[in-house]
Amino acid sequence: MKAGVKLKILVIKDITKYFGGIGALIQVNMGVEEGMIHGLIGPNGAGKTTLFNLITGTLTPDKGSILFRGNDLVHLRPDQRTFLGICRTYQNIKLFKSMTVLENVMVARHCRVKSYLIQLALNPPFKEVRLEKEIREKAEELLQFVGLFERREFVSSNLPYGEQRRLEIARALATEPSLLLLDEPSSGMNLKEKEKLMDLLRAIRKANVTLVVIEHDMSMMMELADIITVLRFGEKIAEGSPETIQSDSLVIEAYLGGAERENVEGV
Amino acid sequence: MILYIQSILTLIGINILLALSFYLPFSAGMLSLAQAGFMGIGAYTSSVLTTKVGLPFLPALIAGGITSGIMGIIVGFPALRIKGIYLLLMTLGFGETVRIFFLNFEYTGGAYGLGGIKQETNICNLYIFIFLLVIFFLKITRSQIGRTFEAIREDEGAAEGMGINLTRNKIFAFAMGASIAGIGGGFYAHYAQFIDSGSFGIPQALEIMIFSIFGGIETFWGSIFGASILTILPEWLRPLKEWRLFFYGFILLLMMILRPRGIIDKHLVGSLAYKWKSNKQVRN
Repeated sequence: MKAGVKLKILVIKDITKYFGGIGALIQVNMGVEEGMIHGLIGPNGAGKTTLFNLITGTLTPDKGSILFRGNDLVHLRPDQRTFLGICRTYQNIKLFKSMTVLENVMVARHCRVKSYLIQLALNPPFKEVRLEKEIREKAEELLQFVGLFERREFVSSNLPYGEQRRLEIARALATEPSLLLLDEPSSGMNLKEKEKLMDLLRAIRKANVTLVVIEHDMSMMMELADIITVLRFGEKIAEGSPETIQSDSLVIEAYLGGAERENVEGV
Repeated sequence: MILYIQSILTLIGINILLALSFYLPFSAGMLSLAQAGFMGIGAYTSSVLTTKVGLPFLPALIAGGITSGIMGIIVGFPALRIKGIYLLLMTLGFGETVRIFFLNFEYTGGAYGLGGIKQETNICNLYIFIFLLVIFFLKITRSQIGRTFEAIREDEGAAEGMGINLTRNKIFAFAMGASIAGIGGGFYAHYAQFIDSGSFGIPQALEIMIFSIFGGIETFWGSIFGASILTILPEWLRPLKEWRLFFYGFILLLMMILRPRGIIDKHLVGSLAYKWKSNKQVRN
C-alpha cells in the first residue's frame, strides 16, 4: 500500500487510557487512510473496543488527541462526532429492541434531518410529513442494500443474530458516515453469512466509506483488510499489510501463539 | 344528576392531562414523580393571575403552563445525569420542595390555602384542550420525534452514538411534560375554586403515575384510558361504602397481575388499527 500518499481521515496521537491502575491503551499512535478497510486485531483485552469508545466519544482519553479530518474530537459529544461523520456498530449488539427493523434505521436519520419540527407542526394529523417520507425511503434503500428489506416490519429483537448485526450496519449507514467502525461484525455468523458480510463491507467501501474493523476471524481479516494494526495489552506491536503481519514474529508470538495462554488466564 | 356527571367528566379530563404529563417524559425514559409539583406550580400561578392580577382565565392558564415548563427545564438539567430510581427520588424531592414552599409562602395563603378562585373550567374548554393535546401526541408518536424518544428510552448510549442529542431531546420531553401538568393544575384550580399545598403532595404524584402505568405506559392511549377508568372506579364502587378503597386497591392488583404491561399496550393498539384498516378495505 502506498502509505502517506492518500489523505489520512483519522489520526490517533499518543492516546492513553487507564482504568484504575490498568492501562487499557498506552500511547497508541495510528492513522487511518481514506478509502481503506483498516483491520484492528489483538487478543482479548488488548484495548480494541476501548479505542472505538474513545474515537466515538463514549470515553474520554487521559492523554493524547484524536484528529478526524484535522479536527480534534476529544471535547466533542458522541452525537456531535456522529454529525461529523463517524459512526459505529457494537460488539454486544445494541439495537433499539422494541422498534421494528425499519424504525431502527429511520431513527438514525435524526442528525441529517433539518427543520423537521416546523413541518410536523404545520402538517395535518394523519398525513405523512414530506420529510418523513424521505426518511422512510432512505431507510428502505439502506435495508435493501444490506438485504433486510423483506424483514422491515419485524421487531428487531426477533431477528436472528447475523441479521441483527447487518441491521446495526444499516442503522450506522443511515447517519451517512465517512468513517465506519465495526466491532466484530462477523461474530455469531456462519460461513455463508460471513461471505455475504465481506461482500457487503466491500460494497460499503466502494461507496466512499472508510472502514475500521475489529475482527477475530483471521482468515477473513487477511482476505478483507488493506492494512492491519495489532494491539496487545494496550500497546501497538505491529502495523502493515496482511502479508507482513502474518510473517511478523512479534505478532505470531503475541497473538497467534499467546492466544491460548490468555484464554487459560481468562483475560 | 347532570351536575354530578359534569363534575366527574371534569375530573376525568384533568386526570387525563396529568396522566399524559407523566407519559411524555416517560416515553423518553424519564420516570418523574414531580408531576404533582408541576401541577401545583401551574395551579398557583394561574390562580394568582386570575384572583390577584385580574387576568382572564385563558392567558392565566397558559402562563401557568409556561411557568411550569420553565421550572421543568431548570429541574431537567440535573435530571439528565441520573436515571431510574435515582431520578424517581430526585423528582420526588422536587415535588415535596414545591409543596413545602406553597405551605409556607404567605402571599398565596400559606397553610390556609388559596380561595376565592372563580369557576372557569368547564367541559367545553377542558375537552377542547385535550383534543388538541391528543392531536399533538398523535403527531409525535408517528414521527421522528416519537422514534427518537423511544430510542433514548431503549438505549441511551446507542441513541447518542446514532447522532441523537440527548440533552435537547430529554429537556424537551421533560419541560413539555411539566407544562402539561401545569395546565392541568390550572384547570384543577379553576374547577375546585380552592387550592392548598396538600393537594400537590406525594399521594397526588403517585396517583398520576398509577393512572399511566395502569392504563398502559407503552402508548399515550393507555394514559387516557387509565385516568378515565381510575377516576370512575371509586364512583362505581361507592355502594361498597367503607370497603370502597379496599376494592379499588384489589382491582389495581388484579389488573397488574393479568395485564402487567397495562391495559392498553402497543400490541393491542397495533391489532386494533389492523382490524380497523381491514374492515375499511372490506367495505370498499
